[in-house]
Amino acid sequence: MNLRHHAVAATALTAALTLSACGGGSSADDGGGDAAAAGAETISITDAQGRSVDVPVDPETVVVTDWSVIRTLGDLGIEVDAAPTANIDLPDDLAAYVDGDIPTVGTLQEPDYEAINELEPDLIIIAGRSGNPEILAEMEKISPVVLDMSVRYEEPSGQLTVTEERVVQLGSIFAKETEAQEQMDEIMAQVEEVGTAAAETGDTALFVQVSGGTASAYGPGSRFGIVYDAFGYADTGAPVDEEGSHGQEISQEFFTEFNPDVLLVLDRAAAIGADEAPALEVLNNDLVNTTSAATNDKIHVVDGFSWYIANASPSSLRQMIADIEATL
Amino acid sequence: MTAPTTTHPARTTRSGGVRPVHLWLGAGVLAVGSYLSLGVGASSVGVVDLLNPSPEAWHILTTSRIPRLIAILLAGASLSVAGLIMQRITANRFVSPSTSGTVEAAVLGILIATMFFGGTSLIVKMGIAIVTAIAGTLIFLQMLQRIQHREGIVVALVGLMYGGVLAAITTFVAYQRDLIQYLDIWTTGSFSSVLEGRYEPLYIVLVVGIIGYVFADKFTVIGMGESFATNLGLNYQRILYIGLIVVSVMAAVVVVVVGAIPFLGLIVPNVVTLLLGDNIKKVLPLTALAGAGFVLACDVAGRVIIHPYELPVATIAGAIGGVVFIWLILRSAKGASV
Repeated sequence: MNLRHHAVAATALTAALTLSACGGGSSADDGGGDAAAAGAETISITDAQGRSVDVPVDPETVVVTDWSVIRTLGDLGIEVDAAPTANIDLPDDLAAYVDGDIPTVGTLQEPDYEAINELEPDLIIIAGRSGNPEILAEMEKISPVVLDMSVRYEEPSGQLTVTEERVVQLGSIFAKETEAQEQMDEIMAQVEEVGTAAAETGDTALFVQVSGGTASAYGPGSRFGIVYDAFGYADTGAPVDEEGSHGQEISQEFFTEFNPDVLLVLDRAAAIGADEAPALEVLNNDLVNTTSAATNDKIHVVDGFSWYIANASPSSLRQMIADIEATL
Repeated sequence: MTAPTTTHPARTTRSGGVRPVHLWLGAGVLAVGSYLSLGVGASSVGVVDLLNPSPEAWHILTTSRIPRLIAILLAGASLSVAGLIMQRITANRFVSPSTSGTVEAAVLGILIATMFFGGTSLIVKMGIAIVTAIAGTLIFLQMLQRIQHREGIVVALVGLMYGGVLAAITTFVAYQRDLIQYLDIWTTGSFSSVLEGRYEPLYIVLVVGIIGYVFADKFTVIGMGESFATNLGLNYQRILYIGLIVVSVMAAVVVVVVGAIPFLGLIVPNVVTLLLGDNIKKVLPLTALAGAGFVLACDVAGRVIIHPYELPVATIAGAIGGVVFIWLILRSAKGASV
């Protein structure tokens, strides 16, 4: 497997050399771009696929296919040169990407390789829904420097530590390592604080996703396991679901049986920008209304973009903290 | 048409036909199954609690379990009856709402409704889905009339391919509008969201079901061809359209409220007619009972297998239905009556 990676890297390197030879004239015209092309100053980054990549510091043209990475860079004051199509409602801090001035390069799952190729990027960052070996291989045909900055973790406890690592790595590419570390230190302290407060309430919480009238529950081992692991809520005692990423379909009876004190609701329709029945309408029924969460007014719709679309950036973590604080 | 026994299609059957005892037996088994199903669910209200329910248990029963049971019975019965009617109209055992583009057309209708009337009421969605289902089925019937070899599997294949084309169009449009993940919900039938106040439009199928029953024998006659039906003094086109509307309304209503349940309309009528003969007017009530029972069994299994979570009824019906479908095809390939 390692051998294969080396082979891919070697091919990419050859391609890169050929490409830069061809494009030499144009990059000279750019003036500022030659630092990247010449590789004057590089930093070595180990990405999510275990590759060690030499990345030019402060690269000129940067294409990113993941909103967590874009939001992280935004938190560090960096605007990227191409982003995925925004057919979701973007939060205010990403307003720059709404009006279409910045080129779009396909969807989160399927990048538009031709559009990316035209931009002649000095750095391509894939992650999350596009962070897989197949897309990486395609991207390496386009740019000499490709990174997979996905945040992947086995246990829920990994979410924060891997996120911190990625945020700091991204900071270091743009010479903002210290700033990135400071933001994450602050966030970690806030998580600790909120988590302690939630744990002290002794309340149980249930995280559900509502989509097209159907509800799915997420347990401690799921992609939203951070609710229990870092944010300190107790789980409802429902059997732990093995399926990590998509939750398990539940009936409304489930709510009465496991009677959560706090109900965190991800309105998936709103998160992906679809116009469907709002989640709270689906949950406003005679069964959910008998739960402690309903009677204590602790049913809270979380920010879909931060929890579901881009959960690995400082701003998203701040929003997640705020969502948990709202239930305290 | 007063003597239904004379309208027996030209098919050989191994059975002695439907007798009242079959109907009573079927109804009895379904009643017991229905009662037991009321004791299955995520909350801890069990079969024993049904005898002397506490106020809490009664609340669960009336808001969740009983509506769910009614929805299951209506959906199962109507999709099976829709399949039976289609098989008679086309005189082909492999035709059903899910092998003729009807369901796919209904899903396309829901997509259109979501795109242009997003967040509107169930009734608007249903209306559009019914219209597209009728149009989709009509196109299928038009295609059928142009097919030289109208026997068995060829027609089913054409229907499946046609449904595939409609599904592809739907997927393309949904992809453009970033609604792909909604398709899953519409095409995966599930009763988990059925509650009091959230399933009542399903009662529409009762009304069209009665219309279907009244016209049952005439559907068999028009299945034998336009000239045959006209010679018997029937208005071929009118009966065809009535059948078309009955089937499309049933399929569309079920798809909108619970989602698509694969193979149901195909396998249930086939198995029932294999066992009990072809007389549609006698077989129709039993097909309804059997369809309701099949969906009930699938849904209870879905509630039990990963309790307290749920598997969608479509997943289980698809697994069982697929096996039965293959068995039916193999059986017909061996030269049995098709």
